Order: sequence, then C-alpha cells, then structure tokens
Amino acid sequence: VIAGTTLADGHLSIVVFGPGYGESVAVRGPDGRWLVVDSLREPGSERNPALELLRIFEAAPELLVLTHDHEDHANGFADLIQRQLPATSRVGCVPANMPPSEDPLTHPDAGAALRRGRVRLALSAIQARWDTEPGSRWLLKADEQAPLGSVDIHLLSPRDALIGKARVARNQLSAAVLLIWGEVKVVLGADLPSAEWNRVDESIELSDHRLFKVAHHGSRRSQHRRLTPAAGSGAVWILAPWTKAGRHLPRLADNEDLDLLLREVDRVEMTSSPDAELGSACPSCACRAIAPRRSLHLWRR
Amino acid sequence: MQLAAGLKAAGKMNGESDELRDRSISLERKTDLVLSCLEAGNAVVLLDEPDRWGARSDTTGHFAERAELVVDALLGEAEVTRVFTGPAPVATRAAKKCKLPDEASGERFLKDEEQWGPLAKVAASCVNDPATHGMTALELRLLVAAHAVGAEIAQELSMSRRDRADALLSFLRSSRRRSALGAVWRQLATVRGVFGADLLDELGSGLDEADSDILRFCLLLDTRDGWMMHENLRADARRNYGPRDDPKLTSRLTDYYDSITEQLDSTGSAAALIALMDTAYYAASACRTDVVEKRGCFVEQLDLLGKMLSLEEQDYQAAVDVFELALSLDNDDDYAAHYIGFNLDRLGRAPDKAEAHYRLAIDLNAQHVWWRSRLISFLAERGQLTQARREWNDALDSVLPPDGTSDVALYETLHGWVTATLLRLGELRFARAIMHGVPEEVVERSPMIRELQARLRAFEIADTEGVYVPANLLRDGWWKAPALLQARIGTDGSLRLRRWLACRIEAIDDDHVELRVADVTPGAPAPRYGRTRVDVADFNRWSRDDDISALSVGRFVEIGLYSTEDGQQPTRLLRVHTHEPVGADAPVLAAPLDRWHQELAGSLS
Repeated sequence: VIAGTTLADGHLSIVVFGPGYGESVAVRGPDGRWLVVDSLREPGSERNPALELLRIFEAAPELLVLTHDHEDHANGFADLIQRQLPATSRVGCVPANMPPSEDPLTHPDAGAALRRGRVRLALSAIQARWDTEPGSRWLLKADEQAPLGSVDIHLLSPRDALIGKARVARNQLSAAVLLIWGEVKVVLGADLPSAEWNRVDESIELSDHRLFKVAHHGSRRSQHRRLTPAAGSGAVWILAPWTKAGRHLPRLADNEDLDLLLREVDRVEMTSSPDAELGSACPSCACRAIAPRRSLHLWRR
Repeated sequence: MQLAAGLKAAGKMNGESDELRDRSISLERKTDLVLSCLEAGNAVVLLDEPDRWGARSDTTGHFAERAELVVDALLGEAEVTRVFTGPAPVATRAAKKCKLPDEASGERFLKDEEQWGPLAKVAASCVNDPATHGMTALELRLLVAAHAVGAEIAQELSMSRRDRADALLSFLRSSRRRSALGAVWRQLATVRGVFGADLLDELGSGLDEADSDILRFCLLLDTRDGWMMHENLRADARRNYGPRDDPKLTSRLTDYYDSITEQLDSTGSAAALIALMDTAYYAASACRTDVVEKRGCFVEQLDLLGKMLSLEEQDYQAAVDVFELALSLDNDDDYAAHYIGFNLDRLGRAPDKAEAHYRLAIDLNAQHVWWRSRLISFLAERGQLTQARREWNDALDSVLPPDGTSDVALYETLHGWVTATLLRLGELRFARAIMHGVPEEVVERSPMIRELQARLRAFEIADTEGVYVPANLLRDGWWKAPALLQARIGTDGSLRLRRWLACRIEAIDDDHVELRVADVTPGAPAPRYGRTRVDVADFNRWSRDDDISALSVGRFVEIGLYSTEDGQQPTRLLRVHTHEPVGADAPVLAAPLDRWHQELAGSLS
C-alpha cells in the first residue's frame, strides 16, 4: 500500500497500523521529521509495519513514544530504537507498572509470559537508549511538550498524581498525545479510559480536532464527550480494532462500542475488520472498513 | 608448589622460586619455569592418578582447569621421565606398564601391633579373613575399621567389590551411634595435605574413645610432618561435600593455615609458600576478604574468591572488586574479565563497563563458548537485538568447527542459553533461527534443547492462536483431544463426549466466571474461538475439582458436554488444570528479569 506513495512536504501525514492485534502510529511532520507512537509486530509473521514504513521512506524518527506498557503497543518497540535514531532523538516512556517477575520459561500461561517478556524487551531497549544517550530520556506525563519541527507535541496524560502510585491500571497511565500544527489538531488517544479523559486539562480544547485515533480500540470505557467534534467539522476518527483471544473491540452490538462512536461522528475508519464475520461478509472492508452508521445497522440486521 | 619444594630440596631450584611467589607472573609462565628446572635437573616425576586431578579434584571448575593445565604440561611437554599410577593418560605416548607385586596376604601388616595400637586385637582377628588376600594397605585399614564398628559392615566390606571407603562412610553416616565419626571424616576430608594434632584434637573432640581410635589408627596416616588422610578417603567423602557446605569449618581452616603461614612466613621456605596457598584457598572459599587482603593472593585464588562472593554470598559488587584486582595482576585473565561483566550485569549496573568486560574476555579467549553466550544474552536483555545478532554470527564463525560438530555441551551453552534469554523476552524470530541451527542428533541427546523447542512452539501458538491450555500442553494439535476429560463417563460409560471447551479464566465476580474459550467438536478441522460467561453456581456444580473460590484469573479449565448415543441425558463436566511450573529442563533463570529497566518497571512497585 505504502510503496510508491509520496509524502509531500508541507503536509502532516499520519499512518495508523492495526492488523487486529496491536497498534502503531507513524507521523511525518510537514518538514519531514518523524514521530512513531507505539509499535506492533504482526502475529505469526512478526513483521513490524512501522519499521518497514521507516525503511521505505529511509527515515529515522526524531521522537519515539511508548504510550504504556501493554504488549499490543510495545511489541517491536526495540526494533524502532535500533533504527539508527538521530543523536538528538527523544524516546518517551510512561513509568511502567510491571508485576513481580516470574520466569516466562516456566510460567504455566504461555500467553501471559510471552506478553510480559515483550514488554520487558521494549523497556530494556528504552532504558539502554537513555543510558547511552541521556538526552533521549523523556519520561512521559501530562503537560510535557516537545517539538517535531513545526508541529507541537503536547501530552494529555498520564496525570502526575498517578505516577508512582500502586494499584493503578496500566491503561490509566497511558500517554494520550495531542499534535498541533497551526490550526490542525490531531489526538492520538492511546488506551486512555474515560475517567482519565475527564481529568485532562480543561483549558485544552479537544473538540476541534481534525483527526482522532480512537482510544482503546473503540471500547465503551474509553469514550468521552470532550472528544465529540463540532458538527460539520469533518473530523476523521480512526481506530485499530482488537480481534484476539475471543475478545472483539469495538463491539458491534447496539448501544455498545462502535454504535456509541457512530453517535459522535458519521463514520469511523478502521485499520482492519473488527470481527471475522464482518470481514467475511464484506470482503471489500477486510482491510479498511468504512462503516457509516446507518449502513452498519442495516448490514447487521 | 609441591614440585618446586621437591626441586628446591634437591638443590635443583634456587632463585627461580622467587618468581613463583610473584603474583603478577602468570601460571603458564610459572609452569614453564618448573618444567625447565625439572628438565635441567634430569628429574623423574611421579604423578599419582593424574586422571583424578582436573575435573575430579576437590577444587572448583576454575581451579580444576588450572590443575589440568599443569598436569597436561607435565604429561605432554616436559622432557622428563614420568611415572604415573592408574590408567595411562591420553596425552602420554605408549607407556610401559608395570604392576607392583601384591603381598601374599596382609598378615604381617595386620599383626603389627604398633601400627594398630588399641585396635591391635581387632586387626589381628582379620588375619584369617580370606578376603584380605590381595587387599591394599588402605583396604586393610578400612576392613579393620569396619570390624571395629560392626559385624554387618565388616561382612559387606569383605564380600563387596564396590568402593569400600564409600560403603564404610555411608554406613557411619547412617548409623545413629557412629554418625559423629562419619561427620569428622567428612570434615577432615576438606583439609588439604598434612595437619597438626591440634586441629585433629579440635575437630575430633566430640568423638568417644573408640571412634577416636578408629579415626587415628585406620582412617588417618601419622606421617613425619603430621596427620593426613589418604587421598582416596578424601575423594569419597568430598563427593557431595566441599568447603562451601560447612562455612564455619572453612573459616576455621582459614585461620588455622593463616597461623601456620604466620609462623613460617619469615623462613621463605617452600612449606611457607604452600601454607600461604592453603590459607588463600580457604580464605577464598570462606569469602574471608580480610585474610585475602592481608596475605595477598594469586590471580587464581582471587578468581575463586570472586566466584564465591558472587555465587555463595550474592555480594556481586565485592565480586567485581576482587575480579578487578585479579585483572590488574593479570591482564590476560579472561575469567576475571568475563566475571566483572557478569557481576555488573547481575546487578543491572554500569552497562557500558559490563559490555566492555564481556568483550574483553572474548578478545582474550575467543574460543570460550560461555563468554560468547553471555555477551549475546546481555545485548538481548538490553534490547540491543541488532548487536546481539551480529555477535551471534561472529560466535558461530568462531566456535563452530567448519565441518560441524555434535558437541552437546557446546550447543547447550551457546544455542540453549541464548535461546532461553530470547524466549524470556518474547523474541521468537531470533530464537527460531537459532534453534534451526541445532543438529538433529544434538536435539535427540539434549533434554534442554528439546525443552526449549517445546517452549518456542508454545509461544508461537500463543502468539497466533491464543492460549486455552497450560503451557506444557500447548503443542501442535493440542485441541485434538482433551487432557483431563474422559471420552466416556457414567457408571456404564453410556455418556459420550460430544463437544468440549478448553478455557482460560479471564474474570471472576460474585455471579459469573468469564472464560476465553476454544470450542472443539470432535472431527472439526480446528476449534472455534470466543468468550463465554458461566454462572458461578453452574461452574461449581459442573466441577469435579476446585470450585471457583479456589481459582483465580489465568487458570485453565476443560468443560465437556456429554450425552447418550441418542442425545439424551445432556451432562456437563468441568475439570481444572493444575497450576504448575513448566520447563523443568530449561536453563535456570540466573538474574532478575527487570534488572535492566528497574527505573521503568520498578517505579510503582
């Protein structure tokens, strides 16, 4: 899809990957500088699409952000750090909340062991980068800012008060990112839950965004009215579904996840099919499901 | 040092002995020095069972390597006449074989009253035992000791051809009345060489008179220079017992030899130097840095001290300090270089310094497989997979012979340990590539490699299909049959399994259990995956094992749906998998997993 595409200067280009498990967002600023938020490797093939994108465009990101320490956002992050980052690059990470270590090789739950190992690999790579390039150290928290050329990067979360606290869910600590380029606002919602959207600095206007990477795979628990765009704004919402392990996000039932999102915007773009049935019934939507609210309801009936 | 002492006593070594005391001179150089004196002195060297020196000696692996270096030099390089006992070492040329004549019987020895003291009558009573014919003096001693402690063991020693020392020691240790003697035997076996009556009195103070007699007249030799235990008796007692098993005794022996060193130090004799060696050996084994600092140590002893501090005391920073001293004395000491890296790695500190020392060890000894393996694992654990792959390729080029090998130890050390590290990091692609490089015959002979292959496959399935059964069952086609559910149930087996669910508990509340489910119908090409909720009451009613109050999220269960052949009497049965660790043959975890990102992972803990 990407090969042969030209990304023009003077544009803000955003690529969202999400094959059904994991998500990763690559941003190319108008002056050719790159930001990558989170990382994924495709299950089975273990391809890292963000890394491939960087290779195609012979780019090395100036900013790397791991929004939180869940494997579906961290897998392959070490690959990105190994991508010969510029000396001035910054690598951002939220303080993790790792449970006590058990040996993954002896753990009876291979899935949990695999996920935890991959998060550890990402955190080790970040720490190693911080050790060798102290200037790259970027501990993420709300109100932190960084420039990406002419684009300003604002962190909307996590709240300072949560950092260092016990019994805080990892999604609560995830770093939602606001990109501001002139009049254009882009919100990358990470997996931030609704209660934390409520705590985002009220002086920051979010309803005038042009693009929103929907938080937490569109789940009901991460939606918030502050993100409702103004009528007719033409805001684009895009989400990376979760289709692994028998759990499907967004849910397609009435009054659940996707249905609720479609009350806020006319359409939601998805990086893959949110479940197998949708994919097989509508092949043209298998990789890019554009689901107008009314048609979705009709289709579901 | 013993060779040097002999040479010096014979006037064949003079000023050279000073070099042996110089800890800045390498063992290789010292060995060459001794060999040249042996050759110039036209010496005959007697090696008593050289095949028992290296790996089978009482020293650690590192010391064993050094002992082998010296023995190999004596056997292979020195232009001297060699006489050795036991099997001919591989390194020697065709040897002339001699058999010393046996005494026709041990009668003369057994009747020597001065030899046996208060046990003279017991010894004399053994004369008529036909088993004594052809016995060595040591075997006769053991036989007399056995007669002194009991008829049963005496008969065993007479009849049995198995290791008599081992049999007697086992008997003593298991005997309620004689266990003290067995314990003192083991303690004295940790003492190297000759020791004085004061130490014997001290260690044997808890023995009654009879046991004390057995010890002194049967188990020990009263030499001109003091008491000593025959090397064979020591070897049997030390098989599962060394300095680290009795730290208090090891510390006591440190003081004992230190006091001898103190007495002899001013003489400059070889005996003084040997006492110093023994002091350093025990001081290192007991982690007595005070004595090590006072006496000074050779590099090998410092290396041992560092190892003990790391392995036994878990004082990794102290180990680093000691290895740094060793490396400053011998710039070529790859062992010290590696373990500076290893201990810093273990601490999760100074990564640049750790990596530099890992690399230095490889520069000094590029063929050492473990040095290679640890560096690659270190880089992977630091998230530096590109560098790790580069080092991996370099290691293959360096340590694998061009025409291949089926050396199991090599593959386990390199392929096995690196794969274990990668699997712990969820890095399946790299791990898969490594496992593909292991020859099939090595896989067949190595439980470790087979275990790692099974773990790798389990992770691959977890990555693509998800996890519905415990890791030890997660293999290709795991869903073709349940592990816990029976094909038929009911008193007459009338209920047949129609369908079953492999489940992982995802959430539990007061009313419901949420399950992640693989739904298997026999004969179907694959399971159907999904989630379901079960009422707590149903869960408990179906369960033949624990009810839900004893379970937690992450446990695995199987639910079977049974009915008669005509679909009547639908019945559900639930079985709970045990929650046991897997991977018994995998390399053990050697260091905390989070040590290289403590700041990030530990901030909330």
